[in-house]
Amino acid sequence: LREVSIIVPNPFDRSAMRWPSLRLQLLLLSMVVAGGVRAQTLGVLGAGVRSSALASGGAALVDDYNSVFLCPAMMSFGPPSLGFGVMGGVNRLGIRLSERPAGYDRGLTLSGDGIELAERSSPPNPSDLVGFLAGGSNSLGIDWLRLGAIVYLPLIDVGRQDTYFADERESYFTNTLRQEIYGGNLSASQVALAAALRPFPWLALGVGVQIASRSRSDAAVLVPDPGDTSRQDLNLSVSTGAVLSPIGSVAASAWGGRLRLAAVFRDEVVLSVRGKTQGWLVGGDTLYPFEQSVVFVLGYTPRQALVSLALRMARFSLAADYEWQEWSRYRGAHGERAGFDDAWRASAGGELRPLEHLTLLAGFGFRRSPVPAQTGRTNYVDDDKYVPSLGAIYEFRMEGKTIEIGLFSQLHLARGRSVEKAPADGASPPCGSGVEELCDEDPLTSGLQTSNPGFPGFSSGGWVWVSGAQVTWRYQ
Amino acid sequence: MSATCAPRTPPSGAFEALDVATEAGGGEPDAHGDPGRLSPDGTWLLFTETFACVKALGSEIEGITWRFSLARMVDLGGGRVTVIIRPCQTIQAPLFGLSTVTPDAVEDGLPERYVSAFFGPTTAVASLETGSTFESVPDAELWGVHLSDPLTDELPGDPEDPRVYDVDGDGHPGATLVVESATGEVLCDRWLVHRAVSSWRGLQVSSTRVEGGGSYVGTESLFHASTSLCGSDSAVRFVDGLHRFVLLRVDGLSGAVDLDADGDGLVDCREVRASDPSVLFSMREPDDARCK
Repeated sequence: LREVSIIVPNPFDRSAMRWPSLRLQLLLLSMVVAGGVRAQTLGVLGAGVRSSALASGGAALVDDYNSVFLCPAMMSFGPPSLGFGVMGGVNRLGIRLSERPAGYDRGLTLSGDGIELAERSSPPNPSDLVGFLAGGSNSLGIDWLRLGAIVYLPLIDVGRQDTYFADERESYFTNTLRQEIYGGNLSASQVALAAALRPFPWLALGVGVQIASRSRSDAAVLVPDPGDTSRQDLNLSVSTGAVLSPIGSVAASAWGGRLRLAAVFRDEVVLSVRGKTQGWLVGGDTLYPFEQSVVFVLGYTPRQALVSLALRMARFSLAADYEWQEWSRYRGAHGERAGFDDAWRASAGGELRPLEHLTLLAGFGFRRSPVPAQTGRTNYVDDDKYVPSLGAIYEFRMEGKTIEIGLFSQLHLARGRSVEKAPADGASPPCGSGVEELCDEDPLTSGLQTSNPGFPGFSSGGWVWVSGAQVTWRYQ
Repeated sequence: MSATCAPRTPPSGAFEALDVATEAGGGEPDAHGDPGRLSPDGTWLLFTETFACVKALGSEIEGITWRFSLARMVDLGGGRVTVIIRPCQTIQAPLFGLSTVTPDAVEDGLPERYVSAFFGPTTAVASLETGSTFESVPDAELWGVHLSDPLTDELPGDPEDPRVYDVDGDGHPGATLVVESATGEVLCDRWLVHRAVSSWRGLQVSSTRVEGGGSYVGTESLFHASTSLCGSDSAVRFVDGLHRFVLLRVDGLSGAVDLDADGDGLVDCREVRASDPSVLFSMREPDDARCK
């Protein structure tokens, strides 16, 4: 099911006024696209019980198939493995909109029966999440080689793809704000493949790819009667291709394998939809061509560089991770500059083995939000997050193989934020492309006129709680 | 800030409440901070939207005419004003896919009109709303003809009538209007004289905006049509109760929009046309159901 909302910004444009309904229908057609994957879940929640229980860190400690995402090179330090797990969570991140003072709403009159604009209101919590994680790694009988794959599949909102405007244009649609990073992206599927080799006993190299989709949808339209735009003859061309986003990693071992250092680079992952509608209006003996293009970014994970250090002792282990994220390259859902800052996250945690078969885990992380104070036109909502986590792994041997059963629980607690839109120094600039300040939608009227749902401010906060279980078979 | 289990109470924001606005010029405080005070002296844009039901091919469809005129207002004291009107642009909604275009040469050839109007609580609509009221006396706009009594004299039917003149300088009597197809192709032209009688009543909604409704009746006398299509005579019924007008200050005073693009201190029709004045006002779409 595809639902599309459209603004026609200037109905008094004579060239656009004649066939507005036609153009809307053409844009609808161009939105018929195939679903795809988005890459965010494992980066935020961690891959596997061990990583999730270490506050999404532990890249230099994990050496099973979860390393396909965390640090592919680390696979070659561990045995081949196979496993699956489930995770579920409750998302209680919220946004509250400030009451809007009188006189700023642009006075628009609705023309037509049965059509209402959505009332400006605080949004509901984002969707909860339930997902399934599976993966495996294999050596093909070669001790220094590992090949692996990992898949995360959400079971809620599978294939859901929303875009929205982060500025005043959203007032025509939902008329509210969204969590930019901890919203729908947490219900996104994710696929990664990797290979690792160990040229020296102390050094391992790994490469991999994350797989995203890129769709294209083109429509060719013939309108035989300009006086009856309800009749349109059309052809549709839809294609979906894979986009491979590389992962590179290196891992080193020292002190008899007790000390491990890992470095990982993950390129950005962009799920996009592009399309073009080309057509002809037949007006008597004259053909009138028209053309429209659309670009949507439905999912995004920034380029990341990670370093991780781990100490593995007989009764305990320690791990620390630091990840830099190049969010400054992020362009919003419509390919417009979002103005994010580069960000980072850090985590530290440890494992304790009080019994021979039992490992207890705990971690704490902090994630710096890439979203600067939204005092201007845009309303991207995100908070810094504190991430405490706990876990336990019970392992036993069966027919010479090791089987691990693990549980984890993780909390992402938002560092609340209050945002006030900043008054312009002088007259507010008219809304237009490239304007970043809070802008005036009706500059011909004295005084600021805006329907921006984030005006005059908002607050955000709340938490996300995620728990999961995983079974891993380490079979060498 | 510390972690929170739920969003805090949102901030109240840094913006004070304003008076509620509607269209351009609506509700903003004037230079004195008092939206109730109005200094009429200056240049305004008169926007009129008039409705007619046109009977042809066995049915009635709605025709809308949008006019944009410069209105220089002179305060005579005591709420009395003289409005000096200079027509600038006429837009007609297509009828059966055909658009009647009024060339700029016609607009530029029309004389200025002096219309008396009144602000204050003494008009007939004073009891309907708070705030100052506005009322203009009946005004006749003539295209290509001089009449002793513009309001009541019959329009001449003979192009040789000495009262008829060539308003657009194209060598043809009266005004020459062009009929175009939906694709912009010129189909034919019409030579005619025309009269529009209107009067307006409304309210001052801000220091830069006056709006309301009124009465409007247009008549014409056709001398020549280049094709039979342009010569067809359709019955026209003007619809009282739908006509409306807006007077919008456009000289930049009292916080108003300033259409003086060349900075010479005057707003002229060339600047009005270049600014696309239709974006200043909400314009209704034709709806044939209103003619049923």
